[in-house]
Amino acid sequence: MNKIMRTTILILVLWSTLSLSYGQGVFSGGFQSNANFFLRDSVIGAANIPQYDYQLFGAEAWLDLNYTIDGYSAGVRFDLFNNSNLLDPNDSYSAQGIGRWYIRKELEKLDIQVGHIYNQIGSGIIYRAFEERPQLIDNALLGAELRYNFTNDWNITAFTGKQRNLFGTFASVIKGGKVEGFLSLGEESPVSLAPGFGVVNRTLDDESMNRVISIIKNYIPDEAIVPEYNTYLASFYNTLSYKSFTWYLEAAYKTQDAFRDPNAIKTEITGATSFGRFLRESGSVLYTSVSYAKNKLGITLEAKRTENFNFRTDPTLIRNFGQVNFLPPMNRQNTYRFTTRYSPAVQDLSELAFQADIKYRIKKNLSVLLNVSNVTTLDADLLYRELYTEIQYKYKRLWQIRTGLQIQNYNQEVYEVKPNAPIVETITPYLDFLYKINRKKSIRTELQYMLIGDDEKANAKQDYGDWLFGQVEFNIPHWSFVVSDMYNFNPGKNSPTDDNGEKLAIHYPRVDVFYTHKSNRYGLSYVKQVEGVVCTGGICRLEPAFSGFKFSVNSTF
Amino acid sequence: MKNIFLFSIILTLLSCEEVPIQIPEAGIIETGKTVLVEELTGVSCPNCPAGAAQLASLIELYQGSVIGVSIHGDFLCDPLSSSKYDFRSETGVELENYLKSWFGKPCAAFNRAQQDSETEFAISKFDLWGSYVDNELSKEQQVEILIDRSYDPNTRILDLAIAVSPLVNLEGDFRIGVMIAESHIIDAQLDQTDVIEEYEHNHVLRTMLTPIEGTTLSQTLVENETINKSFQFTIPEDDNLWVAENMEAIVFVNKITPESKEILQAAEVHVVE
Repeated sequence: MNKIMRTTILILVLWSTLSLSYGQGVFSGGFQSNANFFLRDSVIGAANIPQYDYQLFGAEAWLDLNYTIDGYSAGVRFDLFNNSNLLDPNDSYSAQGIGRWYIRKELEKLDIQVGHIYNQIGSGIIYRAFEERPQLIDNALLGAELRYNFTNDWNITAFTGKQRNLFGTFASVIKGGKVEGFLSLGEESPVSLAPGFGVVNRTLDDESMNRVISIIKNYIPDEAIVPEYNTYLASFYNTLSYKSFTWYLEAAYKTQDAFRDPNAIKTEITGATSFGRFLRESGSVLYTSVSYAKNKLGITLEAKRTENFNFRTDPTLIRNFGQVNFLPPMNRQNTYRFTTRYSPAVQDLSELAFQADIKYRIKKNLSVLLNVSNVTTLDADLLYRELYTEIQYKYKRLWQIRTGLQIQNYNQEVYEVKPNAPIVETITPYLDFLYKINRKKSIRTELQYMLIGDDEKANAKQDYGDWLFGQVEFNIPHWSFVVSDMYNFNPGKNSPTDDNGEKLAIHYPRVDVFYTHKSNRYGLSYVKQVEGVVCTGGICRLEPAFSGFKFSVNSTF
Repeated sequence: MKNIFLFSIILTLLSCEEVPIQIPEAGIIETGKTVLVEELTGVSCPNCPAGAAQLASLIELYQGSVIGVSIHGDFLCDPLSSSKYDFRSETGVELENYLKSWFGKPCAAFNRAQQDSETEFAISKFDLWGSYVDNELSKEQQVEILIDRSYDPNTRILDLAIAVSPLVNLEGDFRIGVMIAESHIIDAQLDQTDVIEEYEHNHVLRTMLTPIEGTTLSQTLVENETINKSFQFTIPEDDNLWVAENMEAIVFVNKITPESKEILQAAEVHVVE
C-alpha cells in the first residue's frame, strides 16, 4: 500500500472515530481547478514547450477537506497536475496525490499540530510557511508544532520539520520558535505593545551539503569558503499602538551562511572570470512601518534595509524553490493591467527601500491617494521608483469613477535578468468607470495608456514600446462578461518581429465569461497574453507569453 | 516559566559548535569512466559565457575524464548583429529538443543521465555541474572506447576506426554516436554586461556522423569481445571555419531503453595531433 493511500485512510479513520465518539462537528472545504488549452502562437513566443508542441492541454486541481470537532481539527488536500505549466511556465509537470494533511488538537493551554503546517514569525522575514497557489509555492513545514498559551496575552510556539517539496520534502531540517505577547500601558490613553521574538535554525542534510561542497571545491583558493551545516536566524519585532498611530519594527539577523551571489565575480582555474559565486556572509534586515489613521486621513510610511538575506532550505536551489523566509515587498500592490506590468521582485541580497502611502477623503464621495516608493541597492543603484496617484469619485449610487497616473522607473536588467536593458521608464494614465444601470445590472470600463521611454542604444522604444488597453465588463445576476484588448500600437525593442525583422503592432485580446452560483464560480476565457512579470502575494516571477483558452472552477463548502 | 522556555531555546540554538568541514580536492575521481557534458548554449545567451567557463574548468580539473561539447540549437542562438558566423544547425536543434527538459541556458546534460533530485534533464544550475560530473564518474565503467584516427590534409578526409571493448556482459539496445566539434573560433558572444566581440568559442558542435541518439552498435555486449566500427568524414572547405587543427571527434556509446538514454562511455581525439 503506498504512502498516499495510507495517509488518506489514516485521516478518514480518525475523522470517523472522532465523529462517532463526539457527535457532530463542522465540515468545510474547497475545490479549485484550472484547465488550459494551449494554442501555439510562435509570433508572441507562445511556443516551444510541450504544451504548445504536442500536449495541447494542461490542468491543475486542488480539493481541500477540513473537519473540526471538540478541539480536534484535521484536514487533507488532494493536488493534481496534468501537463501543468504552473510549476515552471516553460515546462510541463504531471503528478497527483495528497498535497497536504494535518491534525490539530487544543488541550487547554496547549495546542498541538502535526502534518503540513503554515505559520510565520513576525512579518515572515526569518520564517514563513505559506501557500501561493498562482505560482505553485507551498512552503508548508511537514512536522510538528506546539503552542503554549501562558496567559491570554502571552504564548510560545516551537516547531520542527522539513519543508514541503511538491509531494515530498526537502531533506534539510528546519526548527524554530517564537514568543509573542501583548502589553497595555496606561488607562486614559493606553499605549499597547505587541512584542515578539523568534529564532529559526536550518540544518543542512548531507546531500545538500555535498552539493555545496561540489561547487566550492572547484573554486580557486582565494575564493573558497567553508560552509557549515547550521544556520541560525533571530528576529525581534514589536507593534506599538498609541491612539491613531501604529508603529511596527522588525530587526532580523542571520548567521554566516553559504549563498550564491549572482553579481560576485568568480575566477575559474583557467583564469577566466564570470559572474556568480557562492559567498559565506552573515545577513540582516531592518524593517519598519509607521501608520496614522484618523478621520479623513490615512498615512503609512515604510522603510526596509536588506543585506545578504537569501535563506533557503538548500542553498543551491534557485527561483522560488525552497525559500524559508519571506521579505515584504515595498511597492504598491497594484491591480490594473498596465500598473502591474512592471512589478519589482524583492531583492534579498542588497536592497534599500522606502514607501509612503497617503489617503485623504475630501468629501464623503471624493477621495485621493498618493503612493511613492523608491528601491535601490545598498550601493545606491536605482532598482525601482514609482509615483502613483488615484482620485475616486462616487455619484450617488449611480456611477463611480477612479482615475489617476502612475510613473515608474524599473530596472529591467536586474528584475528580468536582461543584460544591457535600460531602466524602463513608464507613464501610465488610467480610468475606471462603473455605471450601475439598475440594482442588478452594471457596466464597468477601463482605459489605460502606457507611454514607454526611449532606448537610445537600440534606437527604439524600451522593452515592448507603447501600449493601449481597453476593457468592458458587463455584470448581471450570476453572470459577468468581460472583453479587453491590450494593443502594442508602438512596438519597442523587444516586441515580436515578422520574417523581415519588422516590429509588429500586435493586439492581445481577452474574453472572459464568469458564472457564479452560491459559492461556486466558473470561468471560461480566451487569452492572448504578452510575456511579463507576475507578482502574487509579494512573490514575482517572469511569465512567458500565453495563448489559448482557460477554464476555472472555484467552490467552497 | 516563559523565561525558562526562552532561555532553553536560545541556549539550544546558539551553544552548538560544528566540526569544520574538510573540502576535498577537485578532480580526483579516477575510475576509467568518462563523462560527456553536452552544454546547450547560444551566442545570444548572456549567461552562457559563465557556463562555458565552468565547462572549461571541469575539463581542466578532470583531465581526460570530462569531454565537453557546446551545442548551439535554437533558443538564444540567433547571431548577433556583429556575428561573423551562425553556429546553429539542425543537429543542434534536434539535440536541444532531445535533451529536454531544461529551464534555461546555459544548461548541460551529463552522460544523458537523469540526475537525482533534479527536475531538469539538462541542468541549468551550472554551479552544480561539478557534482554531476562526480556522480557520473563514480559509476562503474562498463565499456572501453579506443579511437584510431587518420586524417589526410590533402583530401580533408577523416577516418575513424573505433574499437568498443565491453568490460562486463550487457544486454540491451546499444548505440554508438560520433560528434564533430570545433574550438578556437573567435566571434561575438553576448555577455551579462555587453557583447564580447572577440569571444573564443570552444567545443562547438559542427555536425554528427550518426543520428543524435546514435546508430546501432549491438544488442549484446560480451566482456572483452571488441566490436569495431568505422566512420569517414570529409571536412568541408571553408576560409574561416572547419579548421582541422581545431577540430575534435567525440565518440560515445549509449544504451537506449524506454526510460533512459544514458551514455555509458565517451572518448575524444583531435583530428590533427
